[in-house]
Amino acid sequence: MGLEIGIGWLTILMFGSLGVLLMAGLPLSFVTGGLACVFLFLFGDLQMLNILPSRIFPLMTDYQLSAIPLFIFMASTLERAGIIEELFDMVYKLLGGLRGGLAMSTIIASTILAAMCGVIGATEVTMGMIALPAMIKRVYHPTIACGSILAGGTLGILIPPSILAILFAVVAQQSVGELFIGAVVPGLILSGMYIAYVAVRCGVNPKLGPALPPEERVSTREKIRLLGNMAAPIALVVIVLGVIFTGIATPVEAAGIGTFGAIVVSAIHRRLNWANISEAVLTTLRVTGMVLWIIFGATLFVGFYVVNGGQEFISGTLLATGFSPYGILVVMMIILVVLGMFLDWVGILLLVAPIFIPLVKTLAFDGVFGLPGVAPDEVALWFGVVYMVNMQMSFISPPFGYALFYLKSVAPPEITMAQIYRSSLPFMALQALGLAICIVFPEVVLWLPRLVYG
Amino acid sequence: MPNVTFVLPHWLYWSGLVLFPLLAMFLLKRRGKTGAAHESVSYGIGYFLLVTAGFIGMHRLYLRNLWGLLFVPVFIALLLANAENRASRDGISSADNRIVKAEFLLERAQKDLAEGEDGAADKVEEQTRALERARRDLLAAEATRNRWILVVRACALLILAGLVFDLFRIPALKRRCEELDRSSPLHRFDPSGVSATAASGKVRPEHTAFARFVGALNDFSGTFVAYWSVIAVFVYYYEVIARYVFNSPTNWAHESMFLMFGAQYLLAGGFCLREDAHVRVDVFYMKFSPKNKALVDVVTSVFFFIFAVSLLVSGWIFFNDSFGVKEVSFTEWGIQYYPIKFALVLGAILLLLQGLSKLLGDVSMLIAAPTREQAHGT
Repeated sequence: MGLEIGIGWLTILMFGSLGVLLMAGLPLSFVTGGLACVFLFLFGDLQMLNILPSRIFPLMTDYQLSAIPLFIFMASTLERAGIIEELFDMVYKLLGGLRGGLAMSTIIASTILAAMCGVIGATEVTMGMIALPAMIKRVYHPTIACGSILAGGTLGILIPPSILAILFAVVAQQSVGELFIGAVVPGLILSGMYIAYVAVRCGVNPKLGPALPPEERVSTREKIRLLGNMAAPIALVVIVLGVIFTGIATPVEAAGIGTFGAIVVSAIHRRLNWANISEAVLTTLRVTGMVLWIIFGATLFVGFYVVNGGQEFISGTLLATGFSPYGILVVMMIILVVLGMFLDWVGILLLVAPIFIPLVKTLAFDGVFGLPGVAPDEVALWFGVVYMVNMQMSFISPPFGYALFYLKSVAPPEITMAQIYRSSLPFMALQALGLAICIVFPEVVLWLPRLVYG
Repeated sequence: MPNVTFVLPHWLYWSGLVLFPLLAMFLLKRRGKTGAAHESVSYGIGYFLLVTAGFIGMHRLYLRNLWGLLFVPVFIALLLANAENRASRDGISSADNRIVKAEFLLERAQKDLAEGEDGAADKVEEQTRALERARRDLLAAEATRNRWILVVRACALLILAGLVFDLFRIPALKRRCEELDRSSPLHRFDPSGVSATAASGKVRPEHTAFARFVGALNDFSGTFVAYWSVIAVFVYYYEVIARYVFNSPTNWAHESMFLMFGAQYLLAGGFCLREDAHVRVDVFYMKFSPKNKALVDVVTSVFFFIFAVSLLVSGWIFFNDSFGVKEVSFTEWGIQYYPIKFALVLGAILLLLQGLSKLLGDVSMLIAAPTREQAHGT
């Protein structure tokens, strides 16, 4: 049809219609895909629709993307083998006597799981399958129950191996290893803050997360035996991470090793049979299909917006503020959070990174409140990790944070989307605090990479 | 270690993608669908682990025998020696290069000497020395390399001997493990309760013959492509072993797998729609009555059909262009691209059929709404 429209109005039109259709309950992948087709026709012509396969096919043949089904298969094989429950069960029994122990165990187990999975889907889904029913059974408050899973699960894209770090490194042309190592300390800080939050809330009000009744608590000897059971997942973490850290194998190969390792571990735990494998591959397909179709649709939608000058529009608006470097950084962070509410993380990465990174590299970060700043040659690495910490928020920020959808896709039916939305808010505040720590004290990010790389 | 130079033939790749899922479905049918406790050890898995992961002693760990851990240091030694072996190749090739260079310079210096140029004799002497040094370095590098090859062979033979020994020990190990199981049973978490509820999809009732046909079709194609993930495990296993144990990476493993996954994503679309696995925002949607849900679904399905039909038509053009020139990849392996592109068309058809079945269901519900709602008591 070839209609003409200003980018400001197009922004309103696109995101307005996106919001309306999503509220009407059409799945996200079809909303974004369908709207992309409509806009392509309205502001282009029928020929423009041929862009569909040429945008989807590169995703189908993307080498790094094949890590997604592999990592999900690894997690669902382990899940079918009961390994993840045993891991969770063990941490729970160690902390059982504490108020909110189940939620704290969720966060600790998620942190360990995050070191097994490079995408958040697998962690989020797995913990949603195991920890959520367990917490519902023991009448945890939904905010504590869902929030600890959401926040713990998003650590998956921060704590290495993280696919987000790899994608960022590719877009920004940085070292993957440095980003991985830089993300370790911020990841552990966030994990620690979540645990502290749960401990304080449940300590003050035990109704939110009751402690295990004394008759269900276990002896020290039993605790040691349970620790022995952890040997399998710990060995897998060490192998998969070790292989990636030492640069021996690519993340996809590491995922392949991990998948085979998961099958071996499942045999050792006497759970390897065709029925379990079938269940695992079907679960994998459901999750992979859901995630990839969202990526297909969102790519078309975001691609149309970018082609029509959405990128320049946002970039221009940002520069017009005239703030100091830290002011611009704060504006960027707010933009990322806002985008995180609407766009997928791949879309955000592709949309924002090429605009922000060159801009950030030209700014001088001399420190705030009299604290030391960031050396110019370390700004890129520092911003990369800050970006990843920020993306934690985008995953759990309503209404379209991906972790919310992952959790909903496996949550028992009595948990509503609205409950999941509410539960994410306090943990988002903690993530904002963690982000502020990384910005104000850049040493948190830069100390470990300096130690390893000299 | 010997080199492994197997290249997956194209016909085997395509027939594997078709036949393996069928075999897996057949096996599942024969073994029964119950994933119930399989607590006793079996010969099948024991020997499977001996062959695939025996080099790190996993068959013995499976049979609750910790002596299997003895394999681990030997295998690590093998990997380290292999890495040294790879590194020593660089030493050899750099020495080779220096020899070629010194020979060239020596020849030129000798020519200069014959022509009676000043200082040529010094140059000849200098290059002769350089040549000798390079030859000595080459010998040293080759000696280092041979030493590492010897270590690799020793480790490989040690592991092989252990595996052959265990091949005959498995029955005894299994008996001992079964005794151990009786005296001190394993305490294992039973995951089937949790995951059975979470893992199964939410399929809506299919009332008409068309809906049942489409449902069965998508169930079959979903299950079919799901089994491809198992192929990936073995292909990546082969790639990693070939690369790090036999020092001979393949040129087909990665490409074959990301193409396979690419087709899988597309073909899963209809399956996921049937199982309601596609994520939606249900803040308001959840509160609608079934009739209103059906009404809203009919309205929003316009966008679904725009997307699915666009995908089908543009996907067909995309596939047809590729099929017309019998497109293959630009890699060494040169695999055909058009079957993967056909997944776009097939995936769109599967998705479209499932969407159509859902739309017809919604429409018939709207027409029959008052009576059916009472009948179902919703």
